[in-house]
Amino acid sequence: MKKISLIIVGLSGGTAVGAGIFALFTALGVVTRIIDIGKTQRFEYHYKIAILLGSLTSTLVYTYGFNIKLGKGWLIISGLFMGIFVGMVASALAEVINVIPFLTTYMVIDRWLYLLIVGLILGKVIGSLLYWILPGLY
Amino acid sequence: MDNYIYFQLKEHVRGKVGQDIYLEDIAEVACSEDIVEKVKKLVVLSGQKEGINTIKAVDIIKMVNSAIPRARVLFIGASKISIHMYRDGDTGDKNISSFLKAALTSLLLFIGSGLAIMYFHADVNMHEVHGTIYTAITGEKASGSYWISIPYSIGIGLGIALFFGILPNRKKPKTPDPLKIGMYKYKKDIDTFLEDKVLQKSEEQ
Repeated sequence: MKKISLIIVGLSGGTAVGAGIFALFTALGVVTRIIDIGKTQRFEYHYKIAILLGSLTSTLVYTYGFNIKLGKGWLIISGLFMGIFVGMVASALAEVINVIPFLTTYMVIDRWLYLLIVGLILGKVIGSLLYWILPGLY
Repeated sequence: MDNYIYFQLKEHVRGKVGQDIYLEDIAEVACSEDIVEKVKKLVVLSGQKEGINTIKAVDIIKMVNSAIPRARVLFIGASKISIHMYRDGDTGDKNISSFLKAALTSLLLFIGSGLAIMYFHADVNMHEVHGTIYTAITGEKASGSYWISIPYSIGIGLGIALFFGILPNRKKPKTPDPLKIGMYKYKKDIDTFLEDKVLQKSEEQ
């Protein structure tokens, strides 16, 4: 009885979290933006499977901690892709809450719009590097 | 068409301060050949200051009737139009002060976004996650490593550049990037709000 209720709780929790994560990415428009950049709408189905497999693998890795014993070069590749995704989510979030249009309306600077994004990018990259390199931040 | 004049008002019109706005600027006109030029060249607004002017269909009927007495005016579509008058310099943005503003705003975004990403990493315990991934791939114990965190940091920059479409892309035709769409929506919201306010005021009087 205990085990059955545990299974029910785990299953419903996982369903809710999984649906929530997917809904978040859809609402932010990250996936649609990626598809739009590469013009690869044909592979929509494959992307869904990829998201599913990705969340499943990371859950398994996180809970059971298995490993595949590869060289350190793979860390660079996975790190790069992790960063790209986080960068896209972060800019999608900033876009949803209208940070940049709000700033530009008060300062009238249409022409320099892309300077702002360069500032944003440099800030994110340097901030992130500082977080990892400076001692005592974590 | 006899003496019928058909109008179809445009939705939004922009004009520079000091410029005359003719009827042909704010509406599509269809009427008989002999009066079409006269109708099109009727001056709707002249010598306006900066701001938003709203013109109702009724005003245009009055105007046309006083110029062409026997005309029958018919409207298709919208019954009002707003004309946004702006100063000449507003859209140029070529002076040094606008560059300074942009530089200051960039600095704000630079520091702010750097801080935000640190907050985010600390908030979600990113070093633990990186440690887990490190162990999962290499099989060694390590909490946080430059092997993963430096490419990750560069990836964040690439991701933002991708999202806003500022990486050079010669092959495919560009779709408008989210920032352009966001700016457009934001400005449209403000315009609609101001127009409605002007209209409300003119109706109260």
